[in-house]
Amino acid sequence: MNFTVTVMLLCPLLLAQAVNSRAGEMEMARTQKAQAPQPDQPTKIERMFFFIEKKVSPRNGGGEGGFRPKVGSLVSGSGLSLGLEYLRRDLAGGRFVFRSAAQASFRTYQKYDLQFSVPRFARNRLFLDLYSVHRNYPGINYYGPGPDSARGSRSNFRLEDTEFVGTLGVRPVSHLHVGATLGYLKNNVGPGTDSRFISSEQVFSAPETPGIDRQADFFRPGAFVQYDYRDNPGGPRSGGNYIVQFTRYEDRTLGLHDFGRLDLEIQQYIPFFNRRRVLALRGKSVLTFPDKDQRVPFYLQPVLGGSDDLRGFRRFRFYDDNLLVVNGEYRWEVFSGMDMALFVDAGKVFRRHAQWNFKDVEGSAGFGFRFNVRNNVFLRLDVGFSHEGFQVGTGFSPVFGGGPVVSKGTQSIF
Amino acid sequence: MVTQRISIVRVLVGTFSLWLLLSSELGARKFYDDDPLQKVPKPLNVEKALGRALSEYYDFFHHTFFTPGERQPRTKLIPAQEVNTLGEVLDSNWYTNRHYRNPMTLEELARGPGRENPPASGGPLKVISAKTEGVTPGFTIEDERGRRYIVKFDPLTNPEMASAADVISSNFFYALGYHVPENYILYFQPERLTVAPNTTITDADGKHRKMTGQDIAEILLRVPQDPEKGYRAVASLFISGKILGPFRYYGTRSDDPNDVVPHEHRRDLRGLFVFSAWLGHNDAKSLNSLDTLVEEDGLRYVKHYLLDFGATLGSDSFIAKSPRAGNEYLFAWKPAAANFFSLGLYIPRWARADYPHLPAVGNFESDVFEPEKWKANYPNPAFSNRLPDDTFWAAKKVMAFTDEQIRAVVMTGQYSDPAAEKWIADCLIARRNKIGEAFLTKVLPLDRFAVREGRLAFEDLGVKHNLVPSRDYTVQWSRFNNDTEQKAPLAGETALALPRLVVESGEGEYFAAEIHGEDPKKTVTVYLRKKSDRVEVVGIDRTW
Repeated sequence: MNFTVTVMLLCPLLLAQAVNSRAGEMEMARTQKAQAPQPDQPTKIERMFFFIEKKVSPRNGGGEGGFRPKVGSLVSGSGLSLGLEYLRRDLAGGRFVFRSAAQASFRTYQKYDLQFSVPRFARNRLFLDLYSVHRNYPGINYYGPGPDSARGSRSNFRLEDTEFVGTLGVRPVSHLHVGATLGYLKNNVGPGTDSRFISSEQVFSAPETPGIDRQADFFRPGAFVQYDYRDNPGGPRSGGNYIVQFTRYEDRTLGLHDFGRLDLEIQQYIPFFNRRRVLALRGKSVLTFPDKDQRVPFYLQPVLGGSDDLRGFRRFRFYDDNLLVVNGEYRWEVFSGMDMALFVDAGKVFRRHAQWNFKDVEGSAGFGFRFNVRNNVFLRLDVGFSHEGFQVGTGFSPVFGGGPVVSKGTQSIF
Repeated sequence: MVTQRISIVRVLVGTFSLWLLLSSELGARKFYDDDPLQKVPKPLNVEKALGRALSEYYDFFHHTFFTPGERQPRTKLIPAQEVNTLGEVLDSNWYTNRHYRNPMTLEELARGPGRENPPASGGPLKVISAKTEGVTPGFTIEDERGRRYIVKFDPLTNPEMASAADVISSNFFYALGYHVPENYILYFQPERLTVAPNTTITDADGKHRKMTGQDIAEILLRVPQDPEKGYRAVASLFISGKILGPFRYYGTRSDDPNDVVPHEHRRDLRGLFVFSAWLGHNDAKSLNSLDTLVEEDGLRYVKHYLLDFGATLGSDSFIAKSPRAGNEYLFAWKPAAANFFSLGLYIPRWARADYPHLPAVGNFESDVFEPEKWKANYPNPAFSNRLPDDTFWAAKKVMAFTDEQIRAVVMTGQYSDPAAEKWIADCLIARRNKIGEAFLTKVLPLDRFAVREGRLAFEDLGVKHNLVPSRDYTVQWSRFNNDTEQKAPLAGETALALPRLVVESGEGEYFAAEIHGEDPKKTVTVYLRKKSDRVEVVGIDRTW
């Protein structure tokens, strides 16, 4: 022990001699550090970030392939939903994509879907998508038909439907998509389960609300043309997106509801100040063409109101055979992960095509926040004001959406 | 018994540390005989160093909302370390003095870190791994000579943009002194690509699976193709050694005995701020760096690289650079609040910048560029700690590039559009000039001190680069005590000619000449020493 102490006490003196140079000074610091090297390891917090980055990163679409959690919203008003998705993008060497998901919300809304697609074939010219979905939404709002429905007449109904749809499309030139769809749609409407409001069938009858008593199944062929030159569909700042789509609904069970539906949409994004400010404009119209003595069932009518169009009104506030809405947004970048927006909306639903004008439109205005990761919006929050009060809406994608209605196998805005 | 042993150990360690401190203090002096060093001593052997990944999100949040590392206190600033007494960064496993110390020829500048290992111009290019996730798709390939490269592509919207930026910037960073990979512009026809057996791909879902020819076709669909030359990419030669992962811009590697200077205090990393500003390297973060364990002469040590320059100049790798880049952090409270509360009516100056309609350039300009206000994507501890002498050190290296040399390096980007090449070169020249104006004037920019013909000689970089007209200097000579650091002025000695006392001094005597121009706060004190019958410049101190 005495020897050790002596050596230890003499060591500094020896070292002092040794560090009589700049190089020696550096070497001494190294020698000291070499006494107790520690493995360079991430902290617990960093490991947690690793997990988030690898498993649930929004950048890669919510996580790894295979089974993965699915969090979001099913339909406006459904509340937060949780579910499980199975995704394979690696089939046939990456040629095919298979996806299936089951989701349920805390308000007992449910959705089950299955999708198989071939995103590119025939030298990247063609695409094919096969999709089926079953939805059970127990409390969809209904205020009665037409633009004059009373705010106080809010009721709710259950919409249950099952749909099979196939889409075959071609990309003849850059940005242009032309496609045909073929679908079959089974519908069921039942009493709403939101106990705060009366069930729709108790206050509305079949003459004013066609289809509320009996529902039909539909054969649904259609076609669409889309010219999309937005710079970044996940969070567009420039370019445009123009959609024309016609869908024929053929009632296969009741013979009461044969009609055609024309969807028109124009989106234009006008950037200024180096794209840090954007004027986003949208005009959208849905026109239906019932056959003689046929009616459009209320559950397939165009709907207005909510966080996607007339943001100062409750979701599904207005139903009728036709719809016209325009939106204008001024967006500015607050920081790289968030834009703010001031918006105005104007729109109406109407019975006759002759009413396709801006007379008697409903208006709303408000502000919103768009959160993005790498320029892709993953969360949207809008606060809209109208003469019916204010509404707070959320979304998980850009406000104006992006594709033809049926090309993704979705029905109307549900 | 165990407790007693621990106590004894503690006492011994405490005593040892105290002695060490005292002996170090007792032996302290401003200059040693071996000053000024030109390179660090031979490294200690690294017994064991483990690879370490870094979370991109963690890095962003940690640096944006916290202040890792030691920051400059309000008083008694912390000067840069691992510099010699002249203020120059030592040659080391981090940095090698190149262009400023010994001007490189045009050929050497264009050659960059090497031109001996380009991918073979013929034969198959075997794909041995690939990724489709992340911001840019890419392959790892092996050419017919068995050399491996990481291959990255340009975005469809901006052909040549990212690949040119990667090559040009790696050549500049090499000339500026950093260790960088060899980057080559590669053109190839798709038939040359073959998938090696058992090659895996990391797909868009982060999933590993066997790779097929279809995967190559999918990736190539997303990248531009030249009708004659085929696909263009940047091929980055694999860096030799065991990959350890990125280095951080604060602290030290705990398993590397040679890494003793906190990174936030390294001059080569503080000065990197200026180089990054010049080249638009706003993505100067840990993830774009690499440590490798290399072995030379039987000695294993950690070598530090900068890499991935695809997001420099006007490129952000997969898109053109955001006008915000280099002007604001991705998030900062003050500008965010200004934007939030002004409803977007507050328009920052950078939002009005004009960019050329040149896809190969992206968004790169020099009019709005303000070197002092330049920012990386998020705070970098080394950048935040920079002092005027750090930025002076870096700025003089930037200013050492002539117009002709800049154009020669830009040519290595192999732009097919001469307008793009001209724009990049013109911007770099204009940005270089702004850097000179900003940082050479923060101090008295005297450099390259020497004793010539009985006089103290130096270069005034302000005058040399036409930032100021020729000027007069005030000089005050002193005798300098190397142990106490006391100066005793030599009366009447106020010229640049060495005083007689200095010339006739004895071996090992020290003197100091304090020089200032019109601004008395900006001084340079030059220390001289008599050694082997010669008077040599041994150190420099700057004030500002």
